[in-house]
Amino acid sequence: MEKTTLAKRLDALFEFDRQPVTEDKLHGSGRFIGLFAGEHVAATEFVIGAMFVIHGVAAKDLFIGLLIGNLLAVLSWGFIVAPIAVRTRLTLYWYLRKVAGPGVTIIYNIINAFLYCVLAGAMISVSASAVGLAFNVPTPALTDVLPNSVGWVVITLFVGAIVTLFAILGFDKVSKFSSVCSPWMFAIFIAGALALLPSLGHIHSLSDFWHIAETKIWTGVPTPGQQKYTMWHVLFFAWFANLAMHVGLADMATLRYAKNWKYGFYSAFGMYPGHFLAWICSGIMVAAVARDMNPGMMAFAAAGFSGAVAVVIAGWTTSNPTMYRAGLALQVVTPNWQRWKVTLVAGLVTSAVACFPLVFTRLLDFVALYGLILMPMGAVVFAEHWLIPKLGLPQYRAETQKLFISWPALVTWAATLIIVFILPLDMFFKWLPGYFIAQILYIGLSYAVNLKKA
Amino acid sequence: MFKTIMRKLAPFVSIFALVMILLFATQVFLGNQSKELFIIVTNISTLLWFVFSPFWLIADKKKDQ
Repeated sequence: MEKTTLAKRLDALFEFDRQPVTEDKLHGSGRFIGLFAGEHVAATEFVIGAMFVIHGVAAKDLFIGLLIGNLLAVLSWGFIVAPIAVRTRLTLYWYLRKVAGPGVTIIYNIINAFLYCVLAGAMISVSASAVGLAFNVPTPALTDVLPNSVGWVVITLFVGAIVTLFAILGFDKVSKFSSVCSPWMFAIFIAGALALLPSLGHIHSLSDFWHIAETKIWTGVPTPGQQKYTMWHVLFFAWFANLAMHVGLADMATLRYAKNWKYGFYSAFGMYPGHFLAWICSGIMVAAVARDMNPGMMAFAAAGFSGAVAVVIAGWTTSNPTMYRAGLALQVVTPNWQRWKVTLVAGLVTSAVACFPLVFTRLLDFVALYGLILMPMGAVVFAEHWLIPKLGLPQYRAETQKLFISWPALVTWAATLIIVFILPLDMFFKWLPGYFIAQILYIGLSYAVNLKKA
Repeated sequence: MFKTIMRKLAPFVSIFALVMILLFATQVFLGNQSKELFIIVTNISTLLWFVFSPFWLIADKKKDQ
């Protein structure tokens, strides 16, 4: 009885997008180009590009890794998520419910909510690094796990409180504001890097730039105490930075409005400006401030007050929708709570998480973990959509048999995560074998269940 | 009346602001301009962007919906 109530409550939250999108609601190319372009210049870009420098990526490895990794990400959008989104016209939530049952969607939502809180926390930390400049509060060092000063805690909680307050007052207004910020923020990235380049050496030609890139920026030598990253790390990171969105299928929510599945390839308009140019620019900025991993300081040195404001706004506008989504996902376990109360709880958790510098100093590892945890469900949905019917197995068993939990799906999720965590591979590379393991496991378990029924 | 004028003027002013930021950054990169002037121009352009861009970016979004 209780579990049915829980499922009904969760369904009610997503009720507005229960039906497949109708023909008259579909959007054209321009909308998707704008959407992708605006989404991928965020606060985390200030950290990620700089982290590649800190981790001693060599210049050639960076450019090759980013070019190929982003191409693979675009192909994943185009060939994995977009075709399923266009064929079903459903969000991942409703499709997962058909495939894995409402029980699994509840678990998925709660885990996702927690991961969103950590992600929003990282963005708040980035903003706090810029606010801290005004009060002379030092940003925690790369090796810090716990907060390094009372000042840092106070500033982080203050920024967290402001973000939470705006999330409670009106998510919609902040979302509109963030769409205004994207083009300006991208300009600040490019301008900041251009203005700081002369401090690294004189550049009169492309070969001068390449010489500085190899000797002063992406030197191939990591900062002491940091792991050395290779071309493969960069390639895989660029590919999985949005793993939950493409391979994990979360972008079904937006791509279900696409007229054509090929619109998935428009993700290139987000990847190459955001995850190529912006990462290169933040790499240049951190090299110009002697590898001091402080996003606020980097941007201030590059573009003055506007740069510091860019970091604060980038953190605020990206943590706000993330916090909103976390609140939405948490609503299922908070019976009869009003939206503001749930958002407040998500905000408190997020602000507490943001105090720990670990969330932004280990951002790359967290992004890898985030994608890894959600990836098996993307593999399950992919197998159910394309492979299960081809193998002559019954599709959407959870829906047709009104199952609360599809055990093959849940066991696949848990078993895949156990296997990938045991695999003796770097965190960055675990998801790829994990994706195929999840598909094989799900098909095997579906066969077993089908045989048992027969 | 004011809104109509602003909507027509806003795209030009805000794009001009972004162009100024990039133009002065390029000048600093080429060694033709001081970083201090670039920062002043960037701050003024930022202000212009945030005053003018909502008139067309947010208004266009409303029209889409």
